[in-house]
Amino acid sequence: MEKIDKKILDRLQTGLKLEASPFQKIAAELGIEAEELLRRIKKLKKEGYIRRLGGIFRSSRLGYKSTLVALKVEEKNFYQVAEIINQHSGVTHNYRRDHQLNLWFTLSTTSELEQDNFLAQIKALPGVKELYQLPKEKFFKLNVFFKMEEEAGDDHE
Amino acid sequence: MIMNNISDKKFGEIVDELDKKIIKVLETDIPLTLNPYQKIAEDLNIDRAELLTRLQKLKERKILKRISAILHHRDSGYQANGMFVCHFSEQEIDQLGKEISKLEAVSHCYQRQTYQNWPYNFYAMMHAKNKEELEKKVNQLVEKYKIEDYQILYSTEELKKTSMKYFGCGVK
Repeated sequence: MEKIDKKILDRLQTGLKLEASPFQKIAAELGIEAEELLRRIKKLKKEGYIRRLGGIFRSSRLGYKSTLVALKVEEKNFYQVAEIINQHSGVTHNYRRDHQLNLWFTLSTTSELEQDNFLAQIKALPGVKELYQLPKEKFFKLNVFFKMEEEAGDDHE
Repeated sequence: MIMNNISDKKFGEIVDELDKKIIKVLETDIPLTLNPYQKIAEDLNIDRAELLTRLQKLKERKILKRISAILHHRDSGYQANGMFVCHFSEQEIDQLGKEISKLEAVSHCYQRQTYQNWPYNFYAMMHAKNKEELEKKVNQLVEKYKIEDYQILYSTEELKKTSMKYFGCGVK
């Protein structure tokens, strides 16, 4: 990856200004033309480095209830269970982990009742041996910044 | 099929119809043009100034965090992603949580509910170029804070990773 692309990825993660021409401003900061910036962003998206360039919202401020959920699922039922979990649009992350608690997902629902109902149904699925609802009790850090430019130092927080 | 009923009434108290439309547009991708907000405003049939005012208000109300890029971090050079879990006492967790969350390798850090069979209350998501590097960082961490009972749960398969879609039905 070219150095300028790394700089672009770093800069785009810190947020666009809420003003008429946000890309023009970033291009000026990086010392390139806005057209070149847009062309490079399109390329970085196409190549899969950028998953999305858009708004990031706080679901809790919109009234959603979120939790992390850990499951122990028998291997023979694993993908069937994962598939049913994934159908819920409030499930944004779902990973297999190398542990006896082998399936971990995040769930956001519009109410605690909806959360409980959904998890009760998951718990009743064939192969689900254990289910832990792990809502956060305290928040220490949420940083989704992935530094691309090694030599840029570590003072991005 | 698992069904979910979502009441629309609840959101009405938090955001109005236009805010909802704006959120629905921004939860996807913004146009890659010189004037992206102009294009979004035209699609929503409002003035660009009104859109920007609304976005500013959503930001002030802490509903909108920011408009930015979300990377595919596996494609961006971070191959090892591990969830570090351990238990800290109520007396020490605030201080240690604050300190550990300062580490660059830690992206998310939370205290979570515990169970008899799952006593870990401290979670730190850690990222490194590879497993060896990640384990080195964990070793430094557990030595420094004298943590004896801990686990690293590596993600070995991504089953779903998407952005939240608001105001929809629970099931696609």
